[in-house]
Amino acid sequence: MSECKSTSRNSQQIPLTNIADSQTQDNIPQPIEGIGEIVLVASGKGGVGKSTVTVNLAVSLRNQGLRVGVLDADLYGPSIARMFGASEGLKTDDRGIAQPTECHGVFVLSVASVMPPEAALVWKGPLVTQTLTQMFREVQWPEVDVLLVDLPPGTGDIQLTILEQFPICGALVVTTPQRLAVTDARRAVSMFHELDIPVFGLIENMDGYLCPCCGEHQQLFPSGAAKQLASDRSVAYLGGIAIDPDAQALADSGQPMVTAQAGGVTASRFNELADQLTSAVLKEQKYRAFQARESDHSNDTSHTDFWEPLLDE
Amino acid sequence: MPLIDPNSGYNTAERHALDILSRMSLQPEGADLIHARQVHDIALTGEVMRVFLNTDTLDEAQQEMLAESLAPLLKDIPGVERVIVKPRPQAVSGGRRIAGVKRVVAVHSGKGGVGKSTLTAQLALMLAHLGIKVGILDADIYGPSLPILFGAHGPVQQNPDNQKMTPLVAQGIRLMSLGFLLPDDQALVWRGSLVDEGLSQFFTDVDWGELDLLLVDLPPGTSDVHLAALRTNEFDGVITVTAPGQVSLDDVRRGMEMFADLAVPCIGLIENMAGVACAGCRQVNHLFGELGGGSLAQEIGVPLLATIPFYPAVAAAADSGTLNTQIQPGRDAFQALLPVVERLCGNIAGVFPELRQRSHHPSEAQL
Repeated sequence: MSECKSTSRNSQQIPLTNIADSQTQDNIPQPIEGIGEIVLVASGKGGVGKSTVTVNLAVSLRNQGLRVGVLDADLYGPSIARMFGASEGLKTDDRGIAQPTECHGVFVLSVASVMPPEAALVWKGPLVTQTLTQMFREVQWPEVDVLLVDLPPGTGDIQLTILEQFPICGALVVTTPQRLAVTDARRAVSMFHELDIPVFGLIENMDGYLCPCCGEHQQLFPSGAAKQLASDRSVAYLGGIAIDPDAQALADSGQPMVTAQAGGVTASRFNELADQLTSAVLKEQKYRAFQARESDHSNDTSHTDFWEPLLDE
Repeated sequence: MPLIDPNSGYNTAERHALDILSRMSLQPEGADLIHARQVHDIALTGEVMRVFLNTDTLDEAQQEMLAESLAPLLKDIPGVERVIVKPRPQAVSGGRRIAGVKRVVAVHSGKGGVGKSTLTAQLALMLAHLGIKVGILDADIYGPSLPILFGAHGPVQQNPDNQKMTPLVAQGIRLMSLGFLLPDDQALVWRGSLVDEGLSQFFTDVDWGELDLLLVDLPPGTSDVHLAALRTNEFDGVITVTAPGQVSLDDVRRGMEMFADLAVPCIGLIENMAGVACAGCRQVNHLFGELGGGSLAQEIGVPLLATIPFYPAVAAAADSGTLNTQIQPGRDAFQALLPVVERLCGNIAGVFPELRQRSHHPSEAQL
């Protein structure tokens, strides 16, 4: 199995230069060295498969030729490391600076890499901020085009800290068809919209399953609520993902589905989602470039410089 | 505090560890760690040896020093893979209790989305049918679920006499949730400090009246909210819910450790989402993993109260606020939860004998 694909780029490569950040204002978070675009994977409710989506999207983006990083910010329930099969601790370089682990071609950083499973982490607010700052800024991130951040569920300290302190390109919101989950997803969408973070779309996970015995599509939850939320909030509905009966075992054993069952239905769903994400990011970049031109006053002066002599004549 | 007796219920590895500890002392001429009552207790769970230090007899520097020096010594004992040295479990509630409420039990899971809230609601419905006065406090401030599960909505009335909030009542159960106070789509963004304040109000400012049992539906994880809850009120026990998969077990283990540290007894573990029966061919598919709950219960040494499959009918009822239609004798959900209720009633009846008469055996009870 070739985990590391060649580094050749295709046309969908996301440029590294972050245009919006060239206008340094005090309230705009500073870019992070080496990291291109930061995309959050969020959910209002826990256990909807957010981490599974993150892992598979990351590998899928990687297979498209992008350089991808994953930061597990779910300090209360970090599962990314297990799903990537990266639990053997954190590597440090000769200066003692931590380095993300490379798994399946993706650079992964998770608190689970450095702590035993029994450690009960009761994280207090300030400690959370400090730990996150370290994970984003004091780690030797290699150059990555996209950094996917697996957020914990809810709208608490961790979300606030990340939204305030780091330059975020946009967010994906994962839900299940269940009303309980959709209600919480609605809160998550509200939080992003209030803070002016673009929501790239809604992913409806656990959208039924295919019985491996008789092949019948079974619905687990009543459906319709997720699409309703998407239309209420003018957020793109990126589609549903059915539960794959093999998904749990693969996640438990650290094999991303996109790699382990590359030709499968679920893998191709993730590849489609990765495409949708890439085009959303490109669109956001274009929009930021447009905004930057609009608000660029130096442009205005050169504009005037050009016209003034002509008008004088 | 009684002196540790190595001959009372310790296994070979634990006795080996006690032997090592009884030959060590902090002062050259002083008593050993056991006789100086500096080690409170030890326990081997799975391959992890835990040494609980007595914080009354040791200052912080001494605790740190012992943590560093004991680990390598005890690691050599056969059967021990890891050593954890930490302060003995201590409650942080200071004995505070909610007025009028006889027993308070938390329902918790380290992992989200394992069906904790739905289970809490079902348990409450079963207990209410048995004549037990039950309330649910939905402490999941970021994702309150009571409004949907019971189809209950605010506004919440305030009692003019004592300024306390009156719980809503639905299907015979008293309910309080932040979801009754907030509009559906509003994100609650509470900083840690706000959580401390806001949550403690939820424990102190609700007029529950007389309750036999208050179930507290805690948010997933191990966060500020949990600490705040445990500080505000003394819990009589915690029921832990897990899904069978390994990813879920990691988080759940962490959550159980937190409650153990804070001296809240674990009543038992419920494994939820244990397989789904296909409506077409009846084949049971283990979509969320298999058997993890049983192995965790065994490893930690707590009872596995029940293994509950995923019932699409229950999911649909949860979405429409009609879980009471599923909590009927003969229904899948009812039968699956019986052992949990029996265990809970046993616990409650131990303290309130009159309840045992009312609910001699849940399966025989007239519902």
